[in-house]
Amino acid sequence: MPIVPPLIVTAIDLTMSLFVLVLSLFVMRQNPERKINRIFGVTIFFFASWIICSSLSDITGFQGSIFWALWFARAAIVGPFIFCALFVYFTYFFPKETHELTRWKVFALFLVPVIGVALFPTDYNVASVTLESYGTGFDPGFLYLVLLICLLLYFGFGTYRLIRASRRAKTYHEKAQIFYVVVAAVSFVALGIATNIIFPLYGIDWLSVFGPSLAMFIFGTLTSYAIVKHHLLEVWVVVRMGTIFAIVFAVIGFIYVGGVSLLDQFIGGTASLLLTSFLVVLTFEPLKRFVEKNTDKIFFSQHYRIDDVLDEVTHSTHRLGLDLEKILENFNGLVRRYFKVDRSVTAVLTPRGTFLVTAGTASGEGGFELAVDNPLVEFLTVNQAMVINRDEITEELGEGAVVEKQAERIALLPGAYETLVRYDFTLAIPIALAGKLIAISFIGPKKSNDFYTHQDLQLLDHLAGELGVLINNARLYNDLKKLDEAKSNFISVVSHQLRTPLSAIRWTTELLLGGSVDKNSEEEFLEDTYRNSLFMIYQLDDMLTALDIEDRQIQLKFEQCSVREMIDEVLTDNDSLIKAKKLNIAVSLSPDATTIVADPGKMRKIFEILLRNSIMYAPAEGGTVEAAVRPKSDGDRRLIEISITDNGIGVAPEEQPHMFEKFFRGEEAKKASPNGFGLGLFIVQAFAQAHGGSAHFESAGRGKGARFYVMLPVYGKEK
Amino acid sequence: MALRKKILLIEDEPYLARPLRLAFDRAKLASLDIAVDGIEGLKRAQEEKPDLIILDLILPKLSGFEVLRRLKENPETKDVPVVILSNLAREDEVRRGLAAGAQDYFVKTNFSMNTLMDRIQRTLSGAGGLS
Repeated sequence: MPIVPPLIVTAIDLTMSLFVLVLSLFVMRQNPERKINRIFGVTIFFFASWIICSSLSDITGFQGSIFWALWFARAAIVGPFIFCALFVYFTYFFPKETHELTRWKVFALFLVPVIGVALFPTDYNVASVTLESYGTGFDPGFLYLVLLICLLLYFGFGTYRLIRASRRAKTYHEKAQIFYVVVAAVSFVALGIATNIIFPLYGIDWLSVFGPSLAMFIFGTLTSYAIVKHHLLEVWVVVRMGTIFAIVFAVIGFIYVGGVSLLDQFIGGTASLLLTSFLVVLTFEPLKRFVEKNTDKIFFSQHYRIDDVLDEVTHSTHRLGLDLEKILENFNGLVRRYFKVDRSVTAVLTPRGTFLVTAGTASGEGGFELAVDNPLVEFLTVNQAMVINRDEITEELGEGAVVEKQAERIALLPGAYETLVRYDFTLAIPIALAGKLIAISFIGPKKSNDFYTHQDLQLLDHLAGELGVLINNARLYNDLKKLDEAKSNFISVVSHQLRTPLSAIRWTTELLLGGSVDKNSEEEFLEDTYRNSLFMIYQLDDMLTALDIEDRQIQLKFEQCSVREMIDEVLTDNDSLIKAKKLNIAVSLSPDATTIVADPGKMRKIFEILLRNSIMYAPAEGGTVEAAVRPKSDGDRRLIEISITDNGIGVAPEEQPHMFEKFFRGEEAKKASPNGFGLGLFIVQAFAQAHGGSAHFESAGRGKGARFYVMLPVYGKEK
Repeated sequence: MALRKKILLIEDEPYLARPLRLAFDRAKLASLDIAVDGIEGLKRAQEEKPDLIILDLILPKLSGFEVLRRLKENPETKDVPVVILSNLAREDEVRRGLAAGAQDYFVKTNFSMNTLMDRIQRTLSGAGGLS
């Protein structure tokens, strides 16, 4: 039989007791209102008291005090009597209160244990104690047999109740909770029987000193896990906390004991005690961190360290720069690796207001898009709180409502959970900046199917915040790049457009000044110079008009305008081109639409642009341009409809959505007339809208002509 | 007496084509043929086999860069020297034109008519001299 030094045995027993007591205090603190938490705390207290009393019996026995050794040996029986009744009592409240308990049942439950406790100071309990190599031995009395029977019966009954509850349980979560407690109870009984009955039959007595401690450790941790569903502790976290604490406590205890012994030889007395205490206080924190770190590395490499995750986020930020796709890939990869999940994607806000997961950011997932009116998007936009899709999770939802059941949650947020369920995600984490939702992180279930712990959720929340800043920076950078490109393109386009008339003016006037032009051609060349200068003026004018439109600087001066006169003026200005192309021009004005109250300058511009475009793009030899003005009504509003139709180059379907965009020119338009800023239709639409009207067009496609419409209120913009 | 040189000008802007024609007529450098778009330019180049092509880059129907590429691909026209006369003045545009096979690149606004005529004369001389 191995001789285990009593000091070590006691230290281990006390460590285990202390650990489980601390754990039970933690459990009680999580939710002191909850009965189950309180019952568990009290149960563990009595369990621990059993071990503490046994340890104290050993210690006092070695110190030679037989009286106290006997007293503590007898007191040790109180704990197990009470806690076995408490265990059954516990099953009436776990995982939910069953309301089956009556006063008589409680009375019956506690009757035998209370009698047992009442008899603890008597010889029926422990008659005498002896000192053994492993601690204090004792002759168990009749009460111990009763205790053994109680333990077997009560734990058996309690386990039976739990198994029955498990069959009735509706959710995976409940079944898991009950499973852990059943395992805890069975392992407790099995260990107890093994170390105190079976092994001693083969002469292995020394294990009995560890049996209770080990049983308590297993029972305590597994039941804690089962209870603390509020904060979703995983088994790993519980075991990790317990192991680290136990090792740190043991190491420090060892150092303290060793320190006292060593210093005792040199200094002795209180001085050595004080000095050791001082050294322990000084070295406690660094030692604790050292042990934690190495314990993590050795035992818990599967579980992430928060520092590692945060370090990686910081370093990757520097590496990835401002590439949005890379940023999202990196984030999702990090989540998949550290949280052991298969699926993590990010849906980013688009200019349309939808949230889009592109296939590129989803690593094997198909992309999907959530509409603006998606209930989950609406909820996250307003509440910006994480949404978790798991059974029986208590969480706070909008307006501080705390809900326990999935059914309640779904009723509170109809439709919001459908998105999570449809795409099989567990978490939807809002990513917001300055109160605006800019992205949503979707994370699937863990591979182990364990819950997300409180630490997981807090860390994910923090990471989401970091990601929000990165996404915003990438967006701003892209916008800036586009703006810069647009600016460069604009300068390039403007400079080219203006160079052409400038070259013509330069060469023409050079030839005129050099006397190279004969008298007959002089007028023609002078006119060319004049037209080119006008062209530059128009182009610059269009540009400045476009700027005014963007700066909302358009001001209207309403007057009675003659539609016919404006159309005729524009046709006259373009007469030479009309004749050169031999176009057929038709103007049709309804008698009720001859005048309009509008800004004359802006109206003329509208006609000028639309007619000029049609004239330019209509085919030569057989081209037609029709201008028609008709009255229309839209409810109570009286409108004028202006339509300009040609049978020219038309507009390709893929270009149609862009026609009113600034600087946009269709490919066919560019081929027909390479010069032009592409501002005409942008200006037409802006002017029409400034009048309270609108502009649109129809075209059957490339080469099939087009019809442009402008709708304007007859009496000017309504106030 | 040597045959008069032929120059094909591919330029769509009449306000530019007119003074150029006048200048060439005065300078008696060569006979000037004008095409007003890229497609017509290619056709005339193949048919007339000019001694020099002056090519604008922004053209209707087919861009000047594409015209240049096709000229250099066509065995019948690849040896005809081409000078670009354009208002595309950015460095990458100039580099692109020269890399595509143009012998020279003139930015319209940067040259007076007289200087332009001198330069074209020198290019033609380099290609065989004048009558």
